[in-house]
Formats: sequence, structure tokens, C-alpha cells
Amino acid sequence: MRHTMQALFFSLAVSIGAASFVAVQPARGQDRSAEAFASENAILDTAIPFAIGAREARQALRGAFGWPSFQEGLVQGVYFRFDPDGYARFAPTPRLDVDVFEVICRPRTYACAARKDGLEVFLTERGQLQMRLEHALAGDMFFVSEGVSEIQVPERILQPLDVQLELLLGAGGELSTRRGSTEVGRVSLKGFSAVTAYLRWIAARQDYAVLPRGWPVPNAESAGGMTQPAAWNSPMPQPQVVAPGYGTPMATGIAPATSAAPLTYSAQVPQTTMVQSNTIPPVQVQPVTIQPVLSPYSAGAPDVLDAETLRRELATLKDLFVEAQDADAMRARPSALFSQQDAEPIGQPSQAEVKKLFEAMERLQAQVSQFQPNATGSYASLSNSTQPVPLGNLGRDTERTDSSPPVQGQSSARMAYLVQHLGFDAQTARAILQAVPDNRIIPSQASAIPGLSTLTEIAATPSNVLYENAMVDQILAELETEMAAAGTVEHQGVALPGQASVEEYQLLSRYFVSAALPALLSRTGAGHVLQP
Amino acid sequence: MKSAVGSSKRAPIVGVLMFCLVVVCITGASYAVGVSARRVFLAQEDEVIPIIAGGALDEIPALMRGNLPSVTSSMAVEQRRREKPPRMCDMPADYFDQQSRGENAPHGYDKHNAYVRKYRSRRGFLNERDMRAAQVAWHYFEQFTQESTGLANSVGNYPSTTLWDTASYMAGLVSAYELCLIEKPEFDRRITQLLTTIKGLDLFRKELPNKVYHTKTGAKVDYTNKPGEIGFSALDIGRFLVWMRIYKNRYPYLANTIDSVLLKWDFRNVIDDEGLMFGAYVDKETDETVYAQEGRLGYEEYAAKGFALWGFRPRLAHRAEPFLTASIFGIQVPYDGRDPRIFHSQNYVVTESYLQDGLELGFDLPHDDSSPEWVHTDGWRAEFADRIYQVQENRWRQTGFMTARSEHNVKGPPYFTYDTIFSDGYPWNTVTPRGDYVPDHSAVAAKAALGLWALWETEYTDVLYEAMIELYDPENGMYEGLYERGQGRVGIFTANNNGIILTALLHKVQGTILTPYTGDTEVWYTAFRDQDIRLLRHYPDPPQKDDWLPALRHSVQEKADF
Repeated sequence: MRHTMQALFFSLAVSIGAASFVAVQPARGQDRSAEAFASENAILDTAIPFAIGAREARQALRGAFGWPSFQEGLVQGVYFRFDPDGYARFAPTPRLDVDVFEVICRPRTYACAARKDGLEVFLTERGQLQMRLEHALAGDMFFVSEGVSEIQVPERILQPLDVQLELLLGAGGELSTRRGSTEVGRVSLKGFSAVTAYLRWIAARQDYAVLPRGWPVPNAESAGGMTQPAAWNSPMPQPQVVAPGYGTPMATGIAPATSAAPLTYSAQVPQTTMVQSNTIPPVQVQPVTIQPVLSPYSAGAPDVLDAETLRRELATLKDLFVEAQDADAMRARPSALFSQQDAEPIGQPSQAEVKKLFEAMERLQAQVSQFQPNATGSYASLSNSTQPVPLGNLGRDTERTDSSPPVQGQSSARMAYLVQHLGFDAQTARAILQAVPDNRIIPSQASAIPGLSTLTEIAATPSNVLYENAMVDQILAELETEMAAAGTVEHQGVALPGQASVEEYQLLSRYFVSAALPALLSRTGAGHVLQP
Repeated sequence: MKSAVGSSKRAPIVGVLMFCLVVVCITGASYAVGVSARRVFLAQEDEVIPIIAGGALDEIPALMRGNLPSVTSSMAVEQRRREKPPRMCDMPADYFDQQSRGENAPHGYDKHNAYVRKYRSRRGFLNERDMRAAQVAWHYFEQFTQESTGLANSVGNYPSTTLWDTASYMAGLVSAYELCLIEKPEFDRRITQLLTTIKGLDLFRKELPNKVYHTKTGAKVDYTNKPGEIGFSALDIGRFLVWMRIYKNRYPYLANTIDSVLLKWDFRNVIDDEGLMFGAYVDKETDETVYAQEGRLGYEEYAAKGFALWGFRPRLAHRAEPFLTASIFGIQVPYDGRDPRIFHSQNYVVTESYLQDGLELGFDLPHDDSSPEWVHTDGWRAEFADRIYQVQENRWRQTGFMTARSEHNVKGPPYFTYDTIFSDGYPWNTVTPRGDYVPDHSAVAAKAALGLWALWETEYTDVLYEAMIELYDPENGMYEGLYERGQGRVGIFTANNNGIILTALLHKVQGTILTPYTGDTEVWYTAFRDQDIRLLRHYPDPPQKDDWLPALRHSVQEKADF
């Protein structure tokens, strides 16, 4: 009897709970609009101008929620306004009422899409632009028209856009879709280039480095040094150093995009970008794989979060990272440099091209080993090492440099070789030497090289973003320890004789990313990006 | 030739002397007569007029000014004060038969600048459909009032609110009680808990309530409902003061509690010496408080009257100037003349602010407690409201678009729109808070439609009523509205919408919601007389006749302007 009563009581409680839950359900949907303004959804700081002349303004809010500010301005002939959650409108009239590109971002992510009259533009996981036309079918023809003149564009505009097509569409005019002789759709491309720049700017966490050349960026005084040569693409072809503030998007898989080179943004899948040149051997770039950061303000303003929130976010990040790492490892095991998933239907290199590239990589490897005597990794071993670099190793080069013994003679010789023979400037040479774990230079020795002492000071300065808070230091240290331990165990299990270590892999990556890639891009001018 | 009897020769000097003598005598006599007459006729007894303490001639010291009664129109012109109507369930069946509606009064301004509208308000008992709508609207507050604080959510179950929306909850609560949807114990429990919570609210920098509060905790929050402070809104506070005065006048037993809430607040920065209202926000860079003029034509005057009901003198805020008019469908629609390009504040023309003035204050001046229902002593407000109504009816008649425009929430981006009659230079402009034009979000707002229905008894408002009165979800309340372009209902439920709808229904039964104050002195005016707090916080003295807001008029449009 007692059990029966208990069971009855339990079932009654469950039914009441279920009933109340069901009763609450209908009301849940209605406050989504209010929840859309949760601070976690803010992915943009409207105080950072998108272009010269843009201004932050306060929204005239009467209600209890909403975004308190927005940014508005005029760039490339279109007016724009955007909110902290990324929602934006671009239109040729200040009222933003006709011919509007509307940008909507998925909540709490940097995944945004721009829409106008059946045309949708978004960034792929690799950071390439892709278009989607609502009414387009297979076999349709596409034309870009400007006044009475028009040109036909290939059907592959519906696949990830290459640079030429992107430039063509960004030039304006209208995109018409024809089925036979019938026009089934026509959409204005006014604002296309501004919108695509905006999409990239969001994905790069408002980094000016991803904006096209010639983009009107606010000057350094008002924007906190954002136009310093190291922080944004100079039109002059010169090798560049990874600048403070520029390293973050690089670390998260976002490479600078210029008008000639779409950014290589990887969210989950490792990517392989091939750069060819007539004068410089092609290089392979393996950006590290990092999940998108959910809250942009957690890094930019760590003080606004309490310790628990930060720990939780980091724990989540770590879990996601480990998952991605496992997935990548699985993909890498078949020892395919270009995995099936990475394959694209267009621009796929032939076997001869691949062979040629391998040879070029070996030549480059030989060059690198010339000033890295201890490096034992070969291209073959490098190609096997496709695991992403643990998060804990990011941004630690500076610390390692300061705590290691100096080898002054080697450093001077290598510096001289880099500057005189290879033609790098002092900054780039310094960056390369910093990236070499065995080539340690202490600040006092660096002063022997002109222009190096200042650089060393900069390098020795802790990153404001990552290490300004003691609590963050502590948490990151814990995290790094865990990740390093995990990485060691994993690598011990699969290590082969002669295989490159994680540090060496990172060394090459950083070298290529920071020095070789910009140099290649700048020298080739248009920088061919091949689809793997 | 010479005379036979002889001749005498007189010197001319003698004649002159004689003439002077006569003149002097006559002048002296005249003066003497005048002075004597003056003394006789103008002589009055020297009267000593004693100055009685507290009397009209007494230059009363500040310490004692709180004892003076607030002078209202019923005291000044010795008119009969209006009375608070009974609850609907206590009304006799012939209650409305006894009410005069001034049907024969000609419309237009009178010599005191009061205005009689062309159409009368809708009055009578609620029918079944009205009652159903009232019950559903009240159910919103039953559903979304927080047990912990007594505050009601602004939007659905999202736990945040403003003073504006809290005033809407107070409106809903009064309406529910007066329409006999709830009884006094429930009413007292709710209002006491609410007032206690409001008294305990953490103010924005020890001045006035923050713009937004978390309804579960009562903590001040920012627009993302995270702990923080934004500033205060003079408009929100003005509306809240209207409803605090309504409660105090209707339910004198709550007066002490209400006064004690307001006596925590500091009004030194919200109204300046010229009577302009200021809101506050926090400078992002310096973290300092910035005070900025707040309010545009419509909302500004309504909020100003809220302050005036508590003795403040918002003279400038209550004036329509600077205003301009835009001709829309033959009606000169008034809009605020402050250029949004310069002041960075949009000049919306919406129905809501005029409705609230009409429903809650009867388009009357704050000191008016005696004029008949159909005479609106704040004349120009009623006349402008007539234009706001007429232009919407004209649009319906000339285009077929059913029109009752107000601000409202929408689902999805941009989440909130000002669905205006006119703004930023464009008629029928539907804009987001940042100014984007979003015509797809234009809608017939339920609160505007039923508010117009209550205040204008016309064929057009009957159509609005038919469209709106069953636009509800029994579980959550009245829907926000009906999309104009056929996308269906605006699937959002808000405190403001349901509160205004309940107010409109109550107005049908009881008329103007604000009733006269029946007490004498008020704690609000007598407290802290022995300290400098009143001076520092700019607490007012009881308003006298010289403090009344002026009754003004503006040029009337005689015929349609095409």
C-alpha cells in the first residue's frame, strides 16, 4: 500500500511537472526576440569603424531590450548600418530602403550571410565567397550587365568564387539569370564588394587586415595603430611580420585577404592552400585548426567575465578543440595530403602538378634546413604531420625565447644570411629566427643588429590580449599543461623515426605564414590560389 | 470833443492791478473749493488689513509651504469636482443613462482654449467580447508577473522591464480591479508588493530608476539584461508618475506608500529651470553621466504632464513648439520640428502618446479636476489628437489600408519598429530604432486600434474593433497586432500592449482614468521640510494657480488641405 501511494504520488508529480512544462512551452517562442539581444550575441564592437567616416550612434530604444548602439557610414558608394550582432543593411540610399543587401548572422557565431532579392552571399568554411541564387537551375546562363553592355559569366559563380569572379561581381552592375532566351532573375550587384568585405571583416573579428586594398581604413591615431604596416596590407610588396593583434586571426585560421587573395579561413576542416610563383618555390600552408570563438568579448575584455564563466568557456573550447583534433587525426591517417573532403570539383591539380609541388617543397625544405641544422624533418615526415597544433602552444614563442640559452654567433650569421642573401628585411628575419626553437636570442644580444633591439622589446612584451589578466594567465597555464600532456601522449604513440615534432611543424607553419606567404603574394602580385 | 460835465483821467496801472487782483481772488477761491471738495468726497478711513498666517498675503516660509493645498480648477473657479466612478460591477444598470455626453456642444476651441472634439468617446458597459478581451489581456499579467518581485515582464517571459512597462502593468491592474476581474485582496497584494519592490530598487547613480530592471531579481540591468546601468528615461518616469498619481487619487489608502517611493528619488537633473526634460545615459568612453534632452512632440507633452501632476513645472516640455506640419491625406499632421539629422533623435508621429493622454488624462491639464468629460482643457492636445485620428481614417478611406499605427515589437530582425504616421520626412514610415526603412513590418497595432476605438466612436473604429478584439492567444494575452501586408498576426505579447488595451476597455466604462485628489495635504509636499533634502533633490511645493501649465491653442485646420 505504501509503495502504491509512493508510486501514485510520484506519477502525479511527474504529470504536474510535465503539464506545467507544456503550459510554459507556448510562451517560450515569443521572447526569442528579447533573447536575441543577449550580450553573448554581440559579435561586433560598433565603436570600431568599418571604414573612414563611419560613426557609432545610439539607438533610440523605448523598450527594455535592444542594442544600445549601432554604426553607420558610407563606403564605396553604399550606405550601411550594422548592429553588434552583425545584422547589417547596405544600400545606395541613406534611408536604406531600396536595393538593400541585408546581412544576418547566426546567433553567437560569425557565420553571416548577405541577401538581396534571391541572391545570397556567404563565406564558406574556408573563407571563400560563395553565392546562391534562389531561382537558378542547372543549365541556366548568367550575365553581368552594366547598362547596355553585358558579359556572360561561367556557371561556376555558384561555386566558391575565385578572385577574378569576385572582382568582376564586385564591380557592380546587375547579375541576370537566363534560361534559354528567358530572363528568370535579375539582381543588382550594387554594394556587393562592400558586403563581401563586411562578411570577411566579421569573420576576422573586425581585423582591418582582411579588407581589400584601397579600402578607406581610419588612420592610426583614431584607430589605435590599426594602419601600421605590420597590421594591415601595405600595397608595397614586402615581407611582413605577424603583428600584435594580427596574430589572433591568424591563429584562428584566418589569413589576411587582399583583393587578390581570398582569405583562408578554416573553422573545422584543415585546409591546404597552394601558392605558385615563377620565381619562388611553391609552399604549403597548414593553418592550425581552431573552433570559432563563441564570445568575441571574452578575449577582448576578459575582465567582464567572472572566473567561472571564463573557465567554462575555455573548457568548452578545449573540448571542441580536442574533438576537432581527433577528427583531423582520423582524416590524416590515410596519409592523403589532399583528402577527399578537401577536394573540389574545379581547380584540382593534376598528378604532375602535385609532383612538381612536392619537388618545390623539398627545395624549400632544404633552404630552411640550411639555417636550421638541427631540423631533421623532411617533407615526407612533414606531410604526415597534419595534426593541428595544440592550442597551448600558440603565442608561446616569445616566452620560450626569453628562457633559452643564446647562440649569438649562429644567430648573427643566420640573420646576415636572411638579410643579405634572401633579401628579407630585419623584421622578417627576426621573426624567422624567433620561430626557430634552437636559435635563441636574448634581448641584449639582439641589440647588436640594427633595428633588432626594438623588435626584441616588442616581442618580449606580453600580449595585451592574452596575458594581461593574471587569472587568464593561470587558466591558460593549466590548459596548456593539460594539452601539452595530452599531445605528448598522443605523439608518443604514433611517433616514427625521423618524423617532425610538433614544434618543428609549428616552426615551419609560422615561417611560411609570417614570411613566405606575404612575400609570395606580394611578389606574384595576383597570387594564384589553387583549389586542392 | 470834450464832455460838458467834465472828464476824469485814470492811470493804466490801476487797471492792471485790478485785473491781477481779480485773477488771484478767483484762483484762490477755486483752489479752496477744490481742496475742500476733495476732502469731503474722497476722504476715507485708513484701513489696516491684517496678514493672516498662511493666508493669501502671507509670504509663507518654505518650512510651511507643504501645508498648502494644491490649487486645482475646482478650488480656483469653485466648480464641482469630478467624482471617482464606481467599479463596473457596482454600477447601477442605468448608470450611463444618467451621464451627460455634451452631444450638443459645438466642437472647437472655447474662449479658455479648451477644446471640444468632433467625436465623443465610446461609453457603456463591456459586452461579452470586450470582457473576453479584458480577461485575456489581464491573463498576460497573471502569466508573466514575477512572484519574487511583483514586477511584470515587458515581453513574454523575458524577465526584464522598464518603468514605462511597469506603468502599463499598473494600468492593467487598476483595470482588472475596476472591471471586476479581480477583487481587492488580490489587487492590494499585487500593488503593495510592486510598490515595495519599486521603493527598494537600486537607482541609477542614486538619482532615479535605471532604464531597465530584471524582473526576477529587481536588479538594475543593461539592455542585454545583464547587471549594469544604462541611465534613466524622463519619458518612462513621466508615464510612471501619471500612474502613481492615478493610484494615489483613486486609492487614498495607498498614498503614503506611493509618496515614500517617490521621496527616495532625486529630481535635480531630470527637469531644468525652463521646464525641459532630460534623460541620462552613460558615456561609453568616460563612464560619466550625460544628460540629454529627451522627448519629441507627442510623448514629451504626455510625460511632462506626469511630472506636472506631482507639482513640477515642465513648462517648455509641455509646449508643442517647435513643431511643423506635414500634409497627409488632407490633414496637417503635426510633427516635432527638431531636425533628426542634427539632434540624432527621430521625430516619430505615432498614435500611442495621444491615446495615453486621452485615455488617462482626458486631454486635460494637470490642475483640471472639474471640467466636463467632453471639454478638454489641454485644448491643443485634443485638437492634435483629432488630426492623428483623422489622417488614419483618411488613409483607410482613400487607400483601403486599415491603419492604427504605433511602435511595436516584431519577430526576428529588427525585433522592434516604430510604425509611424510620419517620421524623418516621410509619411507612413516604418523604421527601426536605428532608422532603417522596413515597410514589411508595418502593422495595425492592437493597442492603437482599440485605443482609437475607445476615444473616437466612429464607423472606422468599429472596423478596427472587429479586426482586433479577438486577436488573442488565451494563454498569453492579446497579440501585438496584424501585419498590414498580410503576413498575419504579430506574434509577440507585451505588457504595454495588454496594459493599454485594458486601459481602453476601462475608459469605456469609467471615462478618464485620472480622478481628482480628495485629500488635503500630502506627504509628498510636507516631508523633509526640516532638512535641505527638498532643496537638493528639487522636490516641488504644492502648485498654486500661478504654477499651472498654460492652456494654449494653435491654428485650426478648417478644411482638408489637398
